[in-house]
Amino acid sequence: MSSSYREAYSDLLVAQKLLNSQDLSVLDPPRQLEVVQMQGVVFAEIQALLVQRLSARNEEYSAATEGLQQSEAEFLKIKEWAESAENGEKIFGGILKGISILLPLL
Amino acid sequence: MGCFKKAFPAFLIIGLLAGCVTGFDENVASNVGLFDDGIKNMGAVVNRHFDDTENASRKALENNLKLQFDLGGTPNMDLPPLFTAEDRLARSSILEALSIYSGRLTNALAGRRKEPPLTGVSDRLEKIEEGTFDISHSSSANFSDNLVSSLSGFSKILLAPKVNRKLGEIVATAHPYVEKLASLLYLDLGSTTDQSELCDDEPLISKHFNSISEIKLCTGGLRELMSMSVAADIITLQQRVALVSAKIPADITGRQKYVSEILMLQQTGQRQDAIIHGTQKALIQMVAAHQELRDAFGGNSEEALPLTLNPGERALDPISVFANSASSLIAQLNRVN
Repeated sequence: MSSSYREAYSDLLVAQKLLNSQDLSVLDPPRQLEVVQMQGVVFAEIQALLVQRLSARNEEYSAATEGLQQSEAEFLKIKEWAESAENGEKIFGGILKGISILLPLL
Repeated sequence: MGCFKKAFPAFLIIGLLAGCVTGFDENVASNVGLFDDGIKNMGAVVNRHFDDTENASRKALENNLKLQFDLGGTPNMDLPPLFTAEDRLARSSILEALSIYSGRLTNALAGRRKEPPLTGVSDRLEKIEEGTFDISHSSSANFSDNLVSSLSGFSKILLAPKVNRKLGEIVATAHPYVEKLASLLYLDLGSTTDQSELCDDEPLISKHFNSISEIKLCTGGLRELMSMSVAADIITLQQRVALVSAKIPADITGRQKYVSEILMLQQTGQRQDAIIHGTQKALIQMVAAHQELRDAFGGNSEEALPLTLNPGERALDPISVFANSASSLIAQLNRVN
């Protein structure tokens, strides 16, 4: 029984190497099937072990995602400013129109 | 008329101010747009790597099962997914958050971009695979779309520096998260060899390094998963070659077919590994590009130096380097399959 990830990984690689070195053509059919079955099992175990290490970072991803999403509130402020300026522009546009009418009269 | 003469210098100053604001905006907006293009491409590329790794693993298992059937076995065909839903969700969520962030940066400066140096991002995404990377959220998040640029005259002149300053703060605050995201993905993509003495211990997480450029990888991640899958598939094919060769008479046609498949697999595996390695480099470039944006804003638009847009120099700046790499990865992935 392997006590650590590294040991388990090494053990599986050794088992895989032994199975892969077996020449199927010299075995009888039941033994051929047994070797291929074991190859499938060992391969799936190796893949699962590798994915475990990747899954160990899931929480870190969630924390970083939350951090990035903090910018939402700040973008919202920009939207509010722009909307407020747009309203101001409409009023200012009216005043400018008034001035343009008045200027030729001065 | 006298009043107009008095007012003229004021209009001139306003005009000059508007010119300064616009000059800064054009450069920064172009760079932000370029960065956004790169982010959208990177999201598609990373998601594609996960899909390809899942498919390669599944294919290796599937071919092993087929051989078991051919040898008279009745194997269980229930193949669980390689990555859990949580694994995929954690990664797609952060890529989407990054895409929304870069999309909103672009939208906040919309209409102020000189010209998009890279065009047709959506077209390229369609080519890679429909639904590979959901950009609908970022493209629908147009709440600040063109708002500032649609303003004119005084409003624009008064508001643009304030907006730029706020964007500078946003970019500076986001930078550590952008670097963390890049580092985590860099670790996920992994390596086929150990580069660190920490590899015997716990899984590598961000506490083990200060920046993405310091990361020393351990055997694992998508590169190792993919390499293992290709190797397992090749072994199955080699076993088929051995079995057909031992037949009397030997099945020459079958053997030739399997040999061709082995050679094809070897080549595809090497290409895919090179592309994933290229994605790791692009992640480092992504951090450098975001850092460049952060420096360009400088947290204060009035002090920020516009980035050079001279075509010759453009090719060397970190934002262009990143955007070009991301675009090239899309093209490479489209060619490999």
